[in-house]
Formats: sequence, C-alpha cells, structure tokens
Amino acid sequence: MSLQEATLIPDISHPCWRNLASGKLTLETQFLGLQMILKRQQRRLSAGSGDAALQEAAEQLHGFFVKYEAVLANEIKSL
Amino acid sequence: MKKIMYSLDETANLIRSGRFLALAADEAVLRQLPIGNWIGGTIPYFMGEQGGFASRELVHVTDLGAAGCGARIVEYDAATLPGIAADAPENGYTVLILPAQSPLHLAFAGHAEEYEDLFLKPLVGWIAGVHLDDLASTSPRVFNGLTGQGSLGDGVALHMPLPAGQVAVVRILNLFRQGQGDVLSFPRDGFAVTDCRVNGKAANFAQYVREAGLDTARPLVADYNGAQINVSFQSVDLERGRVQFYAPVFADIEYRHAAPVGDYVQEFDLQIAAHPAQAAFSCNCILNYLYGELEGKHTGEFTGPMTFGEIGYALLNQTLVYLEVVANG
Repeated sequence: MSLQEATLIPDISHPCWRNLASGKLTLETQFLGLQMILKRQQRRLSAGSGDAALQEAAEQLHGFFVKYEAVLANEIKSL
Repeated sequence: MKKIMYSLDETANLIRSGRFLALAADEAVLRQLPIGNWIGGTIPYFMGEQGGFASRELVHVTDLGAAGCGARIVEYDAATLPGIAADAPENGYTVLILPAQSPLHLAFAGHAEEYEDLFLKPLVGWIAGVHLDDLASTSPRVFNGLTGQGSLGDGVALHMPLPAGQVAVVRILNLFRQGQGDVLSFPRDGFAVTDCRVNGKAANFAQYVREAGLDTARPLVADYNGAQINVSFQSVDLERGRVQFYAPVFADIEYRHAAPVGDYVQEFDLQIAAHPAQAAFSCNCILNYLYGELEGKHTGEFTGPMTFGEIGYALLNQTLVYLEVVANG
C-alpha cells in the first residue's frame, strides 16, 4: 500500500470522535461491533451525562477504530 | 461442505486429540463425553452438512483450535459474567454458552451492553435449549468439558487468542427489517410488557397486538445504527394483557414490527451471496428453524446449533450470528 492509500485514524483530539459519540456525526457501517458501540454511547449520553462522559465515549470510539483499523477503512475515510 | 455433525464416539476421539471444541447436543450425549478442552450446551436442533434437522444422538462440533493454541475455558456466574471481556485475550474472540431461562441468561440479556470493554473483545455464542417436546420436563444445561459437569445456572466460555496478523469480526444475517408501521416504545426494560406507547399514545400492548393483527412470527425490530436488532414474541396473554418476549425490550429504544419475509431460504441465500464468509463459528435461531421450515434445507455454508437465543455481543433473536477471522492489515 502506498503512503497515499493508507488510511489514517484521526488523532484522539479530533472533534470527530466527540461528534460520533454524541450522534452529531453519523456513519454508515455494516460492522456490527461499531453499530452496537455507537448505539450504546448514544443511549448513555442521551440519559443526560456530562462532558466527562462524552470525552470517555469519544476515547472508547477512538480505541475501537485503532483496534479494527484494518477492517474499518471505509468508515475511517468517512470521519 | 466439511463434516460438522459427529457421532458420540467420533466426538470423543476429537476431544482426546486435545482440540478446543464448542459442542451442541442432547444432554444425554454431552454427559457421556470424556473430559477435555470443550464447552457444550444442550440443544437437539442443528444446521448440519445435511441441512436442518433434529437429532438426540449426533453432536454439532465447532472445532476452534488445536491443543496448545492458548485457548482458555472459564465458567461464569452472575458475579463474574460482567467481567468476561477482561478475561478475553487482547486479540482473539470468545464463545459463550448460557442456559435458557436461567437468571444468568436474563441478566446477560438485560445488561450485556453495559459490560466493560464488551465491544473491544469479540463475543459470540448461544443460549442452550431443549427439545420442544421436553419443555415441561427438562431444563437446558451448559457443560464445562474440563470437568464434564453440566450446569443449569452458570455459563461457560472458551476464550481463543489469535496471532497478530488476524482479527475476529462478529457479523449477523437478519432476515427482518423494520416495517413501515407504528413506532412502539415501552415504559421500562423487560422480557414481559403490559403497557406501551404506540406513536407516543399509551396503550396495552397485548390489545394492540390483537387489534393491529400483528403476526407474532415476525419480531419487533430496533435500529442500532443500521443493525436491525430483533426482539421475538414468545406469547400474548390477552386475559392478563401481557406480552412475553424472548429478549428484553428497552425503555429508551424505539421499535417497529418487522416487515414480512417471503421464503426464508431464498432470503438467507440472497444475504449470504452478498456477504460471502468463512465462518469460524455460526449459529442460528430455533424460531428461524420453525417459522422458516428449515428442516432439510440449507443456509449456504453456515451450520451450527439452532438455538434459544444467539449471542453477538448481546442477546439476539431470530438472527444468524457468525464470526470470521480475517487478516489484520
């Protein structure tokens, strides 16, 4: 794979993670684990959690993408 | 298709070879197996190499790995199951079997999604059941092959590590999609409901099911960011105004009744063609076996026990669950 083709996961400080966790950013995926973790984050956050919970959810999503980087190439491009 | 259904003697020989196995069979068969690296659950319905069928003699074998592969077998109770992801290898997967209608089954169904690191450690498995003729006389059990003991209340898991170049991915095939009908919600979590809201208006759910003429062979379906997650009907008691499900509904989730499905086999074939896979593990639902009349029919290359509930991270209903091991990078 050339450097241009490589998928790069946005840094943990990138706003996409908080937006993804809160549901502001939506993502089409067929990856069950991602679909379910997103639903869990949105359910937790809609229950009235604060900024710390949002940051924690964002960090969990970042960790998920790091673990599954090789099979989430399309999703990473959408971030 | 490779051999999947084994006789008692053939299964015993596989166990003696030291391989790590996930087994499904009638209780009387599982009780006769030698001690070894296996986990098992009771069920006499299968999708085998010969198609869907019932047997009280044969064993469905999911061969997960050779002796020395680093797999671990662990029993779980209500106190330890929420930590299952911590026991799982950093890279690998877990196959979990729970006995149907046990408190552990109900606890997992209600709370799995809250388990720490659940979605970072791929989890598949199934809910053990019994022959439908034996529902009143027999209880589902799971077996820990390391001891040969069966349990009515505890769960058993096989944690399988994978080499650095591989990763496990959990996938589902679901014939059901949310229909275009009413939006349904419920005031509290649970397997049994009386009250509901239909498009925001309060109603009794059993009455609604009758008046709307819902086909209870089709589940309620929730949309989890594109994943269609079913909750199957178990019974509708009009006298008590109560509906029982095979999985809990959740108060903060909106449901719709599933759209009709034509021929189950054709629909499975279409989905399988769109998602060709080499499954390291798969299982399907007893309700798909019954309502889809899958006896004697195939679901592509997918085999497995036809179960009282499927596990794909959380408890699923009327869903084919499978796990693929794919190259990582």
